[in-house]
Amino acid sequence: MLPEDILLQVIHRLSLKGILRLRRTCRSIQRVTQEKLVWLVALDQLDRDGVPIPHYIPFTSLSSKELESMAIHAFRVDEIWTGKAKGTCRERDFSQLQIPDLDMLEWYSLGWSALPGGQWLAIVQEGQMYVCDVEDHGSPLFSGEMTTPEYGYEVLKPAKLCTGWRTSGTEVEAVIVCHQNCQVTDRSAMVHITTLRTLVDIWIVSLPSRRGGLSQTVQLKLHRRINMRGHHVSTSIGETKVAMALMTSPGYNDIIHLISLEPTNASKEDLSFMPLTEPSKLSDEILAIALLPQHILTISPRSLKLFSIPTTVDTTSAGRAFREPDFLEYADPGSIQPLSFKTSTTTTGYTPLRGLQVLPMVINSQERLAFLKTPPDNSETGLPYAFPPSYRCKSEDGQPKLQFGAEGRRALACHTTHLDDRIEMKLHFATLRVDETWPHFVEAAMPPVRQATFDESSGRIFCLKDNRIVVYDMY
Amino acid sequence: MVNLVTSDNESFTVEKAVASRSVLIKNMLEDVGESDQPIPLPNVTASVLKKVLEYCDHHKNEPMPTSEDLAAEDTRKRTTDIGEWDQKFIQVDQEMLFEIILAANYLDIKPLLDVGCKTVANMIKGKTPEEIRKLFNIVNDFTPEEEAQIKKENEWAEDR
Repeated sequence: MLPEDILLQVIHRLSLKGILRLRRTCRSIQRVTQEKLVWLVALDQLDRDGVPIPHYIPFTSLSSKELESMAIHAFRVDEIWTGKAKGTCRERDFSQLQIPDLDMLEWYSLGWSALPGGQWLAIVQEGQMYVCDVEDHGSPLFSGEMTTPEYGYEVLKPAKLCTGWRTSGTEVEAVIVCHQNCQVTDRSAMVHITTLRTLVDIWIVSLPSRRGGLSQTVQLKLHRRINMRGHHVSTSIGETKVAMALMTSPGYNDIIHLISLEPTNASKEDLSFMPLTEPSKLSDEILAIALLPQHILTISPRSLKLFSIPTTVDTTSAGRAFREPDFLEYADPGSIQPLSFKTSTTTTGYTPLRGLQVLPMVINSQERLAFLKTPPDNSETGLPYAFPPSYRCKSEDGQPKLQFGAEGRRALACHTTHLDDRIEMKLHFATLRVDETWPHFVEAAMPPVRQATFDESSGRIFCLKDNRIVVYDMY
Repeated sequence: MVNLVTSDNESFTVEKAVASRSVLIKNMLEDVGESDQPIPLPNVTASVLKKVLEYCDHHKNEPMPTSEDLAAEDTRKRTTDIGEWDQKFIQVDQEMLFEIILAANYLDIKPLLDVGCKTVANMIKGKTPEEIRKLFNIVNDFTPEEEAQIKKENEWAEDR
């Protein structure tokens, strides 16, 4: 056979399956296929082929084995997503998570969310939060009480994890978990909010690295905003990492706020929410908000609005003023009014498609999956937005509930029907191909489980089954 | 004209433009300057050099790949398309194919190395591990246990 350096050159030109078949021939070749470079090139190639890889962790910081499993996972999920392979739900061998102090019998009080990438799972129960490593049998990376120390111990309930939140009086209905942003980065941020009477605290916890623990970095207070609803996205403006929050309160004006995740000149108290827009510009109720590479898109019952993200943050004037952004509005009451939207939960993967931004979303009122196209960058003319044919996810029986998540050109809808103490789930996947063919839709059945959550970036599904958390992959 | 001497002591006289397809020879010529001294190529036999020079002669009028081209090439590694003439040229027995690849590597002729590697990759494409072993005379040195384990781990990649 050829010397190792030339063999590597050959391996770089093989498909992922080709590499794995070649690996099985003999020991010395197997060793070469385990080189880190093989998998760095393979991941790069998958990325170019349009296979979404959740890479918020720098590849170079991962081991060869980790890179390999990431490449294989992304490849296999993509095969199912694009209909090249048939999806099943396979229980993983690492699926029995050992999580201390968690009372699985009290499963109805359990709130959980998978962090993008599908390797970390955040769980909230009775005011306790855990973040655990799924692939390491649920070993905890972080645990802590979700209370505000100043006000003493007060349990949050019900604590659900999602990307939007709502408060009603003193009760928090949702806690937000998100990861940091679109570029390859070693930082992830997690935000959770707690509330005590009329005071809302927002904590931003940063995940310094994959292996490191979590640390609370910023705690913000927002006074007297009751009955608040929010969405959260994060991005970078120049060198500054910012989190963006949308606050909407009935009877008040909706405001988009940007907060810095990296205060440069301020103590924690100095950080407060900074309005991005004049309240008057957001007079409609906002149903969804999404972050595009250069714009913030808001969706209201009667209009779509695009805001330019400022390219600089002015840190001089009291350290908190963002420049006034540009603003574009596309109003078309006829076509939007009957719909309501939910945009993707991760806002990182918007892939420009021939100059268009593509935004997967579910149209709730019809339980349809669709992709919204927004205009090309720097274009003020032409098609403002368009939906290619959508896909009906609704089943015929019962009162199903639709969960939805999306990343990049892929969307995953989970359709659940309640049966006594169990739920039946059906998964629907949609992909918009790189060549801009219409979306491709696939269905897969799940075994009955009690409660489930999923991470769309990795296509991984987490279920509560027989008082255990089990992990399923799509293949 | 440039005089090249192979490991089996055969000498080839070729145009400078042909010999310079090899970055190794090109650099040597630049270092030495005008000289009638023959250039020894101790790692290449006459039969292989003849083949390599045939390739160089056919491609002598093409611009040399710049470092940018090579960087772009890196990103297109998986495209296993080979030009028509190159495809015919590389239809040789396996021993010769490997010799050409080794010579292209030694002489630093990137496009030829690329054609060779792509050809090997195309041969592997769609074959089972057993077929690959047969093709390249690879001896299976896994223990039965190891083989069962590695098969289990990679079984999903079985279908082509």
